[in-house]
Amino acid sequence: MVGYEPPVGKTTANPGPQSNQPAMVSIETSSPAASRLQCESPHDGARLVIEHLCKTYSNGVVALDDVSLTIGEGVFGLLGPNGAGKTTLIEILATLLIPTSGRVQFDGIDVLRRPQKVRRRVGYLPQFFGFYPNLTVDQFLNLMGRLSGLRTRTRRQRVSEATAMVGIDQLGRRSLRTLSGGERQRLGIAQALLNDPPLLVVDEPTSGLDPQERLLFRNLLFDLGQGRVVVLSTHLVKDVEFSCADMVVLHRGRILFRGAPAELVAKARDKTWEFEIGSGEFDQARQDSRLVTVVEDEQGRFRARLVADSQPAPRAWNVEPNLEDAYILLVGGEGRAEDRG
Amino acid sequence: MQANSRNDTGIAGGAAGRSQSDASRQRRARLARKVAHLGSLLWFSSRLTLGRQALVLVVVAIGVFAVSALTGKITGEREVFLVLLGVEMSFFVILSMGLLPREKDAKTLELLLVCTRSRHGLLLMKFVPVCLFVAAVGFGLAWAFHWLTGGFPMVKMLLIPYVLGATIGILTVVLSTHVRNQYAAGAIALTLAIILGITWFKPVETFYTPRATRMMVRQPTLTLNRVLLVVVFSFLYEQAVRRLQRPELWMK
Repeated sequence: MVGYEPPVGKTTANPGPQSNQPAMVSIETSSPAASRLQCESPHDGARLVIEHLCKTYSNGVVALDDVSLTIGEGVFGLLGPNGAGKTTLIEILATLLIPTSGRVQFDGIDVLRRPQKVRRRVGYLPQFFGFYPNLTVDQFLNLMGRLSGLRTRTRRQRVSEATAMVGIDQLGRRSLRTLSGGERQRLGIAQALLNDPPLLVVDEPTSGLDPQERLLFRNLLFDLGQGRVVVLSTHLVKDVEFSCADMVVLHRGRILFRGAPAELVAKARDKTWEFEIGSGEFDQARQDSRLVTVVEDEQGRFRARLVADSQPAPRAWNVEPNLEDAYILLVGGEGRAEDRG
Repeated sequence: MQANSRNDTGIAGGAAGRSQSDASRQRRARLARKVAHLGSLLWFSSRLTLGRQALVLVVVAIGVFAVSALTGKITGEREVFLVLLGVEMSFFVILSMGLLPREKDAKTLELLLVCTRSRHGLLLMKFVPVCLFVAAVGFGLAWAFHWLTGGFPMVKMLLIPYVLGATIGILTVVLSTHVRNQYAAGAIALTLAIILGITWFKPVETFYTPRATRMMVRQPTLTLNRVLLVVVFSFLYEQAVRRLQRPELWMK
C-alpha cells in the first residue's frame, strides 16, 4: 500500500486512439491514482521516444546528459529540483531548442528534422508566458487559432471546445489583463489545445496557483491525459503524485529514477523515520540534508521526519513513506530546498 | 443517332461547363476565405504592433510638416526628399526595433514560435503593418508637401525614401534578433543608416537625383544602386527569417 493519498473520484482509463494499441481497462474506483498505477505500462504504446539526448549550453552548462525515455499516453511527470534540466527537455520537445546530440521522435516523426510537422501535433504551455493585454479571451484564442492555420469554422468550434474543457467558456469577453492567475493558466492550456494536439507539453503549470486552483488544475491535466501524451514538468511533488502514473526524476541533467510513483515510494520503505527533537535541536536538524519536515505538535514539541538508510537517532521510529520522502531520499538536500506544494 | 450524339455532347458540354463554373466558384470562395483570413490576421497584428505608438507618430509627422511649413525651409524637392527620408527611416526604425524583442519581453514569443505558421508568415505578420503604416504616413506627408511646394515627381518621392526606410527597418529587425534589446537595436540601426548614408550610399545624391544635379550623375549608377538596395533588402529579410527559424537563439 502506498503511503500517499490519491484524490477520490471516478476515472476511466484511456482506450488509446490508435487501433494497434492495446485498449486499457475501464476502472471505477474510489482511488483513481492507485487504479492508474494498475494500468498497463506506457511503454507498451510508446509514442514519444527520446534517445541519448544531450544539451550543453554555450556557457558550458550541461543541462541534459544522455537522457533516454519512451513515453506513452497519459500524464508523464518530469520531477526534479531547479536546474535539473526539465525546462530544457520541455523546450526541446516543443521544438524551441535544439539538443547538442540525441534524437527525439513523436509518432515516428523526427522532432529535430521536421519541427514544422511536429508543431502541428504539439500543444505547449510555457512556464512563464504572457498574453496581449489589449485582447479579450476570445480574440486571443482566435488569433492563436489563426496562427495555427485553423479555418474559421474549425477554429470557432475548437475555441468553444477548448474553453469549455478548461472551464473558461464564460470568460470570452473578458479582457486578458483582468484574468486571475488560475484563469490565465487555464487560458494557456486552452491555447495549447486549439489544434487538438496528441502531445501536450506543460512546464510548471501549477506554480503560483492557490491550493484550490492547483487541485483543479491537476484534475484537468489528468483529464487531458486521456487519449494523448501529456508531459508535465514540475518541481512540486504533489503535482506528480496526483496526476501521473509514470514519471522520471531528473537531477543535474540525468535520470535518477524512472517508473511509477508507487515504485519510487517503495524505495523509501524502512528508510523514513520520525522522532521528537527539543527546541534547541531544531536548527541542527534543519541542516540535515535528509530532513523532510519538522512539525510542531499541540504540546509544542517538535517532530522531525527524515529519510536515512539506518536509524538516525535511538528514539526514532519507522513510518510509512510518501512520494515526498522518496524524492528527498533520491535527490537529497537540493530537493528539500524546493517548494513541495 | 446523330441527334443522340449531339444531345450527349450537349449534356457533356453542359456538365463540363457547370463543373468549370463550380470550380471557379470554389476557387473564388477559397480566395475570399484566404483574403478574409489574412485580413483579420493583419488587423490583429496591426492592433498589437502599432497601438498608441502609431498615434504618437502621426502627431509627430503632422508636427514635422507644420514646422517645415512655418519655417519656410522647404523650398524644393531636395528638402522634401530629406524630410521624407528622415521621417520614414526613423519611423521604420522606431516601429521595427520592438517587433520581436517586445514579444520576448512580454513572454509571448514562445507561443508564436510554437505556432504552425511559417517563419516567413510570422515575420510578414509583424512587418507588414509597419510597412503599411509608414506608407500611409509617407503618402500623407508627400501629398502635403506637394500641395505646399508643388513641382516634384510624386512616385519617385514616395518610392525611394520608402524603400530606403524599409531596408533600414528590416535591418533593425535583424539587429534586434542579435542584441535582443529594442533600444539597442534601434540605436545601432539609426547609426548604421546615418554612417552608410553619408559615407557610402549618399542617399540624396545617388539614389535620388534632384533636377539641378541630374546631369552630373550617370544613370547606370542610379540603377545599379537601386538594384543593390533591393538585393540588400532581400538579404536582410532572409537573415531575419533565418534568425526566426532558430528559436533556440531566443531561449537563452
